[in-house]
Amino acid sequence: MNQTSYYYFTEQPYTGYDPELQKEHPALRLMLPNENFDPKLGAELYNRYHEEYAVADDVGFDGIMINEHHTAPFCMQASINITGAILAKITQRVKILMLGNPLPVVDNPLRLSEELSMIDMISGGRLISGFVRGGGVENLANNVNPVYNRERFEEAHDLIMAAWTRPGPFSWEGKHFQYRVVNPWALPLQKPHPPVMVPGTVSPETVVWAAKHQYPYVVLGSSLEQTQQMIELYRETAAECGYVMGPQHIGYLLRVFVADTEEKAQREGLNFFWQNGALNKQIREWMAPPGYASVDFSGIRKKRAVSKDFDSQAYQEAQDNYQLILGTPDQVIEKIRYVQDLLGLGHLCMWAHDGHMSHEDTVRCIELMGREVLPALREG
Amino acid sequence: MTTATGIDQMVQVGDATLHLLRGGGGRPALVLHGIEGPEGWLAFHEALSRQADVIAPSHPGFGLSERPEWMESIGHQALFYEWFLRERGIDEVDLIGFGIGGWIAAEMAAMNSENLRRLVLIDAAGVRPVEGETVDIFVQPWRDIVAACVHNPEGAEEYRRIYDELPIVDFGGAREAGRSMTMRLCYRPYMHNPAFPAALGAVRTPTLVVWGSDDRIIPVECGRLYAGAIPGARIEVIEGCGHWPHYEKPAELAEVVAKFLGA
Repeated sequence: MNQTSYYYFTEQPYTGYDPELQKEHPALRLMLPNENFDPKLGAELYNRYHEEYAVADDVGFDGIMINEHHTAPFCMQASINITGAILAKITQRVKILMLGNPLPVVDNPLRLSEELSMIDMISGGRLISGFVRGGGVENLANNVNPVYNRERFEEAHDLIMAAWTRPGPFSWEGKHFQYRVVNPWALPLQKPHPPVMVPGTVSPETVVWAAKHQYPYVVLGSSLEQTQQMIELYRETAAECGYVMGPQHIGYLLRVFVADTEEKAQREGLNFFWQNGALNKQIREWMAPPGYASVDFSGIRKKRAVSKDFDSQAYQEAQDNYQLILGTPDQVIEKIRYVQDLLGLGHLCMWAHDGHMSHEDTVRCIELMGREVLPALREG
Repeated sequence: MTTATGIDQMVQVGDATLHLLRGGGGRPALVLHGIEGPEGWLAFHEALSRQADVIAPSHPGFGLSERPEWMESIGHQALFYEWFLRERGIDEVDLIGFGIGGWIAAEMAAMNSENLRRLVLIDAAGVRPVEGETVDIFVQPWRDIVAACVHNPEGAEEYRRIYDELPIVDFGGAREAGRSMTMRLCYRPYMHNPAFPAALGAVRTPTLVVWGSDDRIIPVECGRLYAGAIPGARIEVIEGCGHWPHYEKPAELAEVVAKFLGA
């Protein structure tokens, strides 16, 4: 029996915009006019995605991973805590894995600590509270100075931890956050506090920070080679801190779609490319505004060039590289095992829906995973 | 009394080391750059140095001047430059600022006009327009912003010299620190001090406001707001010129400034 936890994930995409818009707005972000958003369709999609979450809960996933983005049609979750609160009520067993709250863009971390505590209590202690720096564009969308991204991330984290664990009332005089009184009457059910995880892509600083706090680090779909480098950095940092890294410290987000036939899986898998590489088409000023990161950007760019971004890979290439796993349950099990064993994962998030996949196909995929794929993986 | 080019100096001010170029002779003139950052000894510096002791520093956080840990705002920059003048015993100084350099100069003049002789604000940031809008330089490609800062690049030799010698790159490079510092200083509230223009009533330094007629970054309206708020100030508009008169019409600008400073 392996101890890996399996989570279901969808970005909750908004699929109602005209693809022609991408000609004028290649990145499909920040400046994409919101007259192209139809709340009627939004209402349908939100509720549909929630139904699919309930299926994932029923069929045996260990958790549901959720996230947050702003001015982004690829992700409708403008507030991860709203989705988290809904999951607390509509699911019974799954962990609510937030990857995560974008701390730097939060102006009131004390209120955030209260919201998370409420979700933890209402869900009966099922919250895993991930914290994320957020891409540069999230700072712009929330009008938070990108220069302070890391400082605000770290201070908001420290404040939330204090609010959760230090008896109040006390005062907080930080650089970015000040409170006369910290004394929340909403505290987490889990003690000393809900588990924390940290997702990321290529920032070594974040890996080191997570390792120093012994928080699991979840690599968001980077190449296996690049992911291994990040895991190695985590291992080294853990050793410096005097503990041994284990599978429980490492997570990975993997695109997987399962169908009754291979042909069907291959056809639906194309939906993972539905935005035609939009993520990579952001201008530098959105992706990494000046001052956003203290590392040498050219270094990051070079690293990215070595291992191609997902969207710039050919369909078959992405499958050959284990960036995308498609097929019948039998076909995907071995491939998933390979990734899991290679990386030594304690947490595997299955990105199992994207783009224009229908509700029926998504539900079928979730069912096949829960009834056939996950049991096989757990035995293996 | 004249030098061909500015001399490099590193000057200690408190815990910070300030890099500056200095050239010419006569009354001291402190020239403060804008978001474009320091680009060496400019044609404008050279022209002005024929009648003034031109001091052209790189603001802390730009170029070779490292940011002291405490420096987070335009107000801090103004405090720093007052400290610099005191430390170096520079008195009766003419203060000339471009863009955010003009904003720094205006803050200095509003706080303390005693060591200032004349103030020149050129396409200065710092005042929020009422009718128009200051272009958001943080959400567009930098090369587009730079291109929008001149009205007619064909005629702008100085502009072409600077960006031909050291072309704009997307990531990193010598200008990255300045871009980050501009983000730090001017992000929110965007490019203005909410106490302006009201607090500009405190200025007692004779002031000239200079604006490019075709400034596509900060509307000329802001120049009129500056001139209207500073007692006795007047505005001079340079025709057929964009946001960077020192890159586009350096000779004409130097003439206007020199005349005001009193050759």
